[in-house]
Amino acid sequence: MKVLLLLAFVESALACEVRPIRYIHNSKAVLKSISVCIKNNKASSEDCQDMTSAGCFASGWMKEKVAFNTLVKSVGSPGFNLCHLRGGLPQLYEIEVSPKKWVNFERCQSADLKQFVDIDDLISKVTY
Amino acid sequence: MRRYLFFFTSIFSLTPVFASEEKLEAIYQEIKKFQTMSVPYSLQIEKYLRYEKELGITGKHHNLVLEEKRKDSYPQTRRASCSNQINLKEPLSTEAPKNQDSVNWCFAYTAADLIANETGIEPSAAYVGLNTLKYIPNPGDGFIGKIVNGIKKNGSCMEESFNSSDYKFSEKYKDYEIAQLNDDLMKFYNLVNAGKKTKEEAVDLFCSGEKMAVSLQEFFPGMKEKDMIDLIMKFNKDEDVYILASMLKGKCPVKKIPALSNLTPKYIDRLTKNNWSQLDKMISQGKILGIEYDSGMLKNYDFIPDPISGHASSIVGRRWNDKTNSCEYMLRNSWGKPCSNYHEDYECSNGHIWIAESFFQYSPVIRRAVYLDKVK
Repeated sequence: MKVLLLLAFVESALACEVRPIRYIHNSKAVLKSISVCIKNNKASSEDCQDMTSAGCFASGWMKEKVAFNTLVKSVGSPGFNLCHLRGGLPQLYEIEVSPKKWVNFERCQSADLKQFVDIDDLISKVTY
Repeated sequence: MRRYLFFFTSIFSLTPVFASEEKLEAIYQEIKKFQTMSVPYSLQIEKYLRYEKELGITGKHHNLVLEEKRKDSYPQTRRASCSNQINLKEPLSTEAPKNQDSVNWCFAYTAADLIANETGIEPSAAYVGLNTLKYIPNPGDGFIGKIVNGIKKNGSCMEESFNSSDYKFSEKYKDYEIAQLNDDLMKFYNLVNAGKKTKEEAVDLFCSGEKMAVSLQEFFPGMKEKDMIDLIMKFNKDEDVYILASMLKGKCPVKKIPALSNLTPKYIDRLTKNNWSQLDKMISQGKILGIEYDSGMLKNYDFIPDPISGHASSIVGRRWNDKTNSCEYMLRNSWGKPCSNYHEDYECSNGHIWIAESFFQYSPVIRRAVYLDKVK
């Protein structure tokens, strides 16, 4: 199956380095380089490699339970809903994981846009 | 000292066993619960036995579960008819499902997927979502098919020229939900079109410091309030009355999809075990089907379906799963790539998930399925 064959496997070892990222904004492609840490196909900023560590903007987010319906049965995707609910800003983007190989990721950025956590990681830690 | 050491080692070695038995007990209670609800429970039986095997223990309900397995004739009869196939074609076969963000456009993403899979041309789901009310002035059940017909009649911008993953949608949601903006605009035009307000009165109502004016400026930064009011004033009901569509018009070309003229949406209502063979037949014919259903099942299958909860996705494949002894269907949702969005029992890769048919058939999870068929 093509879809499965196309699954991008990003290295499981923790690696923080400056990598190119790109996304669409107002119908235009935006290209930037940022410091990003990738582990098990999930990407975060350096301060948020452990989402629960005190230096990460999302560290307190999981202490408070979320109503199941608020995330899963309301409109929109649960991860994006959770990110908005906690005051973050979600984004679909791609990271160049190796030369000319771009992989899709989804992140939840802090309100000041300085830190971010992987949305997959975020939604896996929520308690209903 | 030795006594304490023994106490601690005992505690640590017993804890996993207690935890395991607790988990087995929980699975057994699921089986009992599903029996009383008349929901198929093959999956839970296999789960119980698999978990026992993994842990190398025999649960206290082992014999009862084996007896249930013996009585359950489902796997033997179903296996032969559950052939493996994935019906995704280009361009969908090469991409992960898109993410609808925090907006209520699931039906637009599903309709776009149905069209793309049949024609090879991918309408922009976000463009269709923004223009929903243009495509279906009277929403209700059957959203997906109505949207397909709307695109067939009016055309759409294509994904390549109007990207559904634009960061703009996430960014602007922060202050104001896009769908709400659409609703406000509709209220504006309904008031005018029904003759209840003149355009000037409606503009006064919505734009004099009210949220629509503010949100429009946020949505289209740089647009002066006067320009915005002028733009609204220029519309009339015979033209393209939707301000967002009009604003977007200059940004992407609206095209019709010729191959769509030969296709029409066909429906299967209220899918249960009794009429599941209709859906199965379409899967065997290589089609994908849009479904309108309760998304609660995606995270927690032990739930009571809500008949008015409306989510939309596509069923795009089928397989027999030897591990769970059940026929499973591949769901392509519009929640992007993260697998944590789904129940841990569902096998997920790159945003596609496999779900046992028993969960889909648990009436009334799927209110309606729709597929595209040739016009006869």
